[in-house]
Amino acid sequence: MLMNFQLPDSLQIQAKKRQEFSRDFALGFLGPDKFVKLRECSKANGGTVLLGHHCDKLNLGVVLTREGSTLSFIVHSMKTAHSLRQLRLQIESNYTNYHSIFRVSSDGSTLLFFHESKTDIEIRNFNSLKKRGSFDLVTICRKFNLLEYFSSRE
Amino acid sequence: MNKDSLNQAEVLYDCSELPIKERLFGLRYNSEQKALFAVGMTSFFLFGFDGAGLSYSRHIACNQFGRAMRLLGWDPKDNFILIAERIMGNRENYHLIDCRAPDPIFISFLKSQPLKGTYYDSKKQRLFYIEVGVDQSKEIRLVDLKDFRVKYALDDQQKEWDLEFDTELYTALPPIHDMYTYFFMKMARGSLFFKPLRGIDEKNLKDAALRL
Repeated sequence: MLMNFQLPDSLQIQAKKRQEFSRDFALGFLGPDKFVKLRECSKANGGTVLLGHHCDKLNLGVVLTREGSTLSFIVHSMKTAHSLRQLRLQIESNYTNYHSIFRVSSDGSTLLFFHESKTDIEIRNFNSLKKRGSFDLVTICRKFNLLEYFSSRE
Repeated sequence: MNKDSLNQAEVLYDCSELPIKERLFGLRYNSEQKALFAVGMTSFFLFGFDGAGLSYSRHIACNQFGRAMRLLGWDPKDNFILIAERIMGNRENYHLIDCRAPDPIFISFLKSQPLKGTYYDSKKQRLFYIEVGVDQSKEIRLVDLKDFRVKYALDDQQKEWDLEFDTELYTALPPIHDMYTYFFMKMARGSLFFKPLRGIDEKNLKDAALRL
C-alpha cells in the first residue's frame, strides 16, 4: 500500500526560529551615557547561555551554552566580542542532569569543567579548549568516604 | 592540577556536625587574598590560606533570613558579603554582612527592590541594580560601597544596622519589551555589559553570582 505524504497546506508544520529570538539584544555601556547595541553573533549562537567567565590577562572570555543535548564552549575576544573558537560536547538529553560548573584558574591557563551527568571533572586548556586530563569523582569520593552519596550511572 | 595531589587533599571543614543541617551549593576562591568562600542554604564559610595551609576558618550563620536568600557578591579584600533576602511580591531587601570584626555585623541597606538583576563590581566596589518606575521605565542604579564604614559612621559595637545607603543613577534604559523579565549585567574591561533575558529559573538565579 502506498502512502501519500502530500499533506494539505493546513496540516503542514514548518519549524522556524521563534520571532522573539530575533528581537534579543544586549547593550555595552562604555560609560553611563555611551552605549553600543550588540547583536547576537549567528556563528556563536549555540543556544541558551548557562555560564560565562572572562580573563583580563588574556583578553578572552568563554561562555557555556546549551541547545538540547549539546553543550558548547565559545571562546571570544573581549575586545571585539567576536567568537574565536567553539567546542561542542554531547551530553545526555536528560532534564534531571543539567547542572554544570566551570572554573578558570587565576592565571587563565586552565579551565575545569563538570557536568552532572558525568563522573569526572575535565581539565581543559582555557585558550585552546583541548582536554588535558580529568579528575575521577569516584576516586575523590572514595578518598573522603563519600561514596554512599555518589550516584553513578554505572 | 596534578592528579597525584589528590592524595594530599584533606577535609577543611565538616558541616555535618552543625546544629542546623546545612547544604553547600557554591564555592569561590580568590587567589589574591588566598581566601575560599563557601555558600550554604543558611550560612557562609570563609577559609584563609597561607604558605603552610589553612590559616583560619569562619562560619557565618544567617538563619534570620530564612532560606529565601541569595548571594549578590563577595568582597574578600574589604571583607564583606552582599546578600538579597526575598520578601513578598517578588521583591528583595539587600543586606551587607561586614566580616571584618570577629562577630559579623549585619547592615540592611536597601529595601524592597524588584527582582530584576544585580551585579557587584568588586574592582570599584559598586553594586548595580535595576530600578523600575511607576511608568515601567527602567534605569540602572548603583550603590557605592567604597569606605562604607566611614561614610555611614559604623562601629563594631552595634551588630545590626537598619540603614538606607545613598544610591546613584548610572543610566536610564531605553524602552524594553515586557517579555524581558530579568536583566543580566557584568562589568568587563571597564564596560558594563547588559542583556535582557526572557526568563531565568530560580535555581539559576540563586547561584548565578557564584557561577559568573
